[in-house]
Amino acid sequence: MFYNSLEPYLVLSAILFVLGLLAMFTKRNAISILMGVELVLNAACINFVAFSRFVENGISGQLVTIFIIILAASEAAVALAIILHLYRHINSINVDEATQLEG
Amino acid sequence: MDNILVWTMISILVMVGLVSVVGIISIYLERKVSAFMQDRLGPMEVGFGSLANAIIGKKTFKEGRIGLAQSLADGLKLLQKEDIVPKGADVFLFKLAPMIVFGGTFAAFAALPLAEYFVPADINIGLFYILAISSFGVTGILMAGWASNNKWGLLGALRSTAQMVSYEIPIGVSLISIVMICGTLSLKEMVLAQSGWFWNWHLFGAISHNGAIGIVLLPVMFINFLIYFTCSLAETNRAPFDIPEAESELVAGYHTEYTGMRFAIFFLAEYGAIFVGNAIAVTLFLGGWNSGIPMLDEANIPGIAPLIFITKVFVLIFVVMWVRWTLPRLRVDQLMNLCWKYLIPFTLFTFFYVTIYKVFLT
Amino acid sequence: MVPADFVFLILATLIVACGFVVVFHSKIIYSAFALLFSFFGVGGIYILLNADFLAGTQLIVYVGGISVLILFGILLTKKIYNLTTEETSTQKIIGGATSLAFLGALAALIFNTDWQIVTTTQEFTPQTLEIGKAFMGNFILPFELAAILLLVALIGAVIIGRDEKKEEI
Repeated sequence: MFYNSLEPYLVLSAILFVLGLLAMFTKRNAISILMGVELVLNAACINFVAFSRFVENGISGQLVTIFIIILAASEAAVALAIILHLYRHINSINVDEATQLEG
Repeated sequence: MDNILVWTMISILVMVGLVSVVGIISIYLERKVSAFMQDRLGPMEVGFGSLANAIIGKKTFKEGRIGLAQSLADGLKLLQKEDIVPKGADVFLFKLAPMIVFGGTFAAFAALPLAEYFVPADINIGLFYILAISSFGVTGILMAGWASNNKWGLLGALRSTAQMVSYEIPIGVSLISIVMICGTLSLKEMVLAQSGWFWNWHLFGAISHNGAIGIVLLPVMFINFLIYFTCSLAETNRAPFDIPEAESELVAGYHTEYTGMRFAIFFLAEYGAIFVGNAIAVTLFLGGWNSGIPMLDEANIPGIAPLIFITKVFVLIFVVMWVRWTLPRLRVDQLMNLCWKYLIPFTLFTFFYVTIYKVFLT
Repeated sequence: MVPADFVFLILATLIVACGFVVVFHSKIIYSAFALLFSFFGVGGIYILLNADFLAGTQLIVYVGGISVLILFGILLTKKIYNLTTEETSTQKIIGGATSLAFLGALAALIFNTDWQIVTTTQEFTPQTLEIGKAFMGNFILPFELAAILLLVALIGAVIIGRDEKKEEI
């Protein structure tokens, strides 16, 4: 009933997406914003896999999800390097305090 | 079909038993092995009889014991100890951490193939599953180190995590060579491919897959096995890679603040992880449940296959202990140098070699 | 209700509850650990959707990689011995209202669209081989590009994260 119909997965992914969005809106800590981004990416992944299971009956959605995971991994690595750099410069990772263009 | 179902149920029960027994046996073995290597006798007093007598309050001293019940007595002692949560610790995470470390380690037991119809969960991506579920241990250790609110604990946890994450790379690449030769990720299929004489084991190349030409893989498979074994030592924080719990620097690393049963759970999880790591080595390189002599396998002696498997694993565990009491500890920078400058290039080389073999010689 | 339905409900509850902890808990370290369990739940959802290889990848990359990276980031940028590392949030009302509106829009979309569902009962088949063939066949260009991207990200992260002050000495 739940597990073999499309809508429950879409609803779950929508809730996860909105939670990630909320984290990006309300948090001012760079790492929290990164966590929000990861939630949003996961929500998108669930959607892709669900569509490939019910609508396409193939594996294209899974392939796209693997690419999303690869992107998320490289994005997290680079983002955390930038955050560490920011922390060394302004001694804070609050994005509102990062107002200077020059280092 | 029903037959397979019954065997699966039995193998699940056996695994649950194995999970609890492995820790007890390993702790006893460690104490005895270390004692003999240092010219001591190790635990001698506590036999099963005197343990029972101690529980009912009688004192007995008899000759001729070898301390078989020492681990049980240790367990009883740890159960009775006061459960201390340090002031200033984060109580919820402090209590959650041992469960996650333990759960992550023992979830991996589910996919170990003890015999052909003796696999609790015969997953088609068994190897991948074990590598994936073991990564829970890393986060559990970080959680324990942070929640203890203790400098030694946190430093130990950070070191441990950096070490485990780095050493996952050579492990993965060295196992990919085997996966490439077998063409499957299922542990059961890999063992089935190594049946027959012992030169069919992957340690000696790919003879079982491609006949005599498979012998050209012999050197790289030996290198692969050595690299995997070294990395599994590092992955389970064993000496000479026990930097996370280096006694002279960090007291006891991430479990400094843990006492009583929670400490015992960390300890059990560590030995469980050692068992899983060496079980993968046995499954992939040393023929799993095959004895290496076809006559013995075909004799169909009931229960011999799991016994062979567990014996092989414990032989490797003995080597692990041997290494621990022989080699000195590495420094942090030496550890990272070893991983990134030696192990990873060597695994990439063996990977390349196996790829060329697979493309041009088969 | 079949057992798989209960599994779905448990996983969905885990994911959403952990998502709420990520967003609303004041201690950032709790957010990070909740995020980890949320990733784990998503891996379970992939298994329910017959994507076994993907579930393993999710566990290895997200639970073993990205979560640990995020935890390291937190521990390296906060006063780590101070257990009460809390954080403030801003724009609660505007952000909440926008998010709720977005959720409403998504829900309306989900339930008003006529999805062209091909199959509801799919036999489980191992997908690893198919995925591998697809990567070596039709998807080879994006696959190679992803490899280059990973290399670039690796080198870039090392260069950005390097301590500049040490070089001047």
